[in-house]
Amino acid sequence: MSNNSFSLISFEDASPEVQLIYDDTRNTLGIPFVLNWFKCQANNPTLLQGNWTKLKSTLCEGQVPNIIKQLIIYKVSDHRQCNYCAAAHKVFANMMGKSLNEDTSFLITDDMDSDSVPESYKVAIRVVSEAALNDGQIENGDFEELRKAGFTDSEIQELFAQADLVNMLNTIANISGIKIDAEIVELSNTL
Amino acid sequence: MAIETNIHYKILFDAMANFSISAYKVDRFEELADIMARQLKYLFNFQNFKYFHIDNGFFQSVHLDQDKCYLTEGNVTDFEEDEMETFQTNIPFLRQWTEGQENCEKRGWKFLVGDDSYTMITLTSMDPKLFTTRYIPILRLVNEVVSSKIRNIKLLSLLNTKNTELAKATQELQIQNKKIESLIKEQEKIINTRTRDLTNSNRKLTSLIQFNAHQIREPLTRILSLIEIKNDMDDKEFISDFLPMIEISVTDLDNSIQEIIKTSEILS
Repeated sequence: MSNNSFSLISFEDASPEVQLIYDDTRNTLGIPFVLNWFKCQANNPTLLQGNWTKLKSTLCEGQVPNIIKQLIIYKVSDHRQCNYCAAAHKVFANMMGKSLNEDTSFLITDDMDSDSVPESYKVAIRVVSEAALNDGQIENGDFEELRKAGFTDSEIQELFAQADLVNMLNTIANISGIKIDAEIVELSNTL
Repeated sequence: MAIETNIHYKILFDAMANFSISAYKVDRFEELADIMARQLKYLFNFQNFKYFHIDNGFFQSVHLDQDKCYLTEGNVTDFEEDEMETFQTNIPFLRQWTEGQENCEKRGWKFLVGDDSYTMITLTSMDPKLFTTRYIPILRLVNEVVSSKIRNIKLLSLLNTKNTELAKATQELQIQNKKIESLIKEQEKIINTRTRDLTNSNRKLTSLIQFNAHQIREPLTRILSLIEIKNDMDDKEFISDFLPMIEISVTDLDNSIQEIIKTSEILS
């Protein structure tokens, strides 16, 4: 561990236990490299496993479309100026459905209020982002607004779990002092 | 328009993929309706959504109204006026109005999905959840997924019904076979008993015939022998000495015949 930052453990230098977690992150996220966010936690495999499990079950699994979750995390991270998370989740959000898209000039993250985004997405992103930015403090009508947009209780729990997750993601990224992955920069240039 | 549609696909790709995969996995109409209730909000805006699958004038429908989901069945004559018009003309309808400051609209489409099957979708939306024309390609995709699944469910249901009927028929056949087997066994038992009785009767009859032959033969032989002697003696001597013996033998013969008749009557 260097001053004021966590050291990064590459795949080659990682223990077999950590390598297994790295492989799972690559398979699940569908990317050919290990994110610095994981590499910076590899000194403590127990924590790495716990945080990865939480990220996987909260962000990668469940009923709510992944793009909504990515947009919530992007919006909160961008607002808090957590550059690492904002950059990474901007790429993930804009990668969604890339294979079907012929227009490369449009970025979802730049136009979340577009008519092309169904109202349920907008409501979820607005309410959950505000909850995350206000330390979980929510308005009385927030639950009702989500229900009115068609979300079930199970989906509402899944949505608010993103508020909890983004706090963890931002905190670890900021404390560890990780830099944006070169591969993320490369990917963002192709979008 | 093409660019906007592509943008739309880009945003909704994840939700559309989830919807298709979820729909693919179900095998009951109720489960499909549940998926529609949970996932259509990720694909387009609506306040009220109706999906009709129509076969031979009858429909099954999913009706989503806010957070409620209703499953109904009925006749096309139950359609509302604008729905009926689209059903009869095949022309999509659009009705717009305002409620206070809000723009409202109701839209409807009819799709041919089989030789004699149709689907009809109607939806009501209002600001800020207004359904715009750019959602129509997604709506068509949803219709493809749902109608294919419903046809698949109906085929499976038909197959299950046929299988159940076949199983019932097989069961009935097995019951009838058992009855026939039991009847055959009963018949065999009767035939065996009768055969045994017949064999016994035959045996008795044979022994009776043998007995009768002996009973008749003995006095008859005596009579024949006495008659044979008659040529070797004169008539006086024959009448005095042998005729009484013949008489005795004839009486014995008569007694034997009487005995045979009595025994035959007992056996019959």
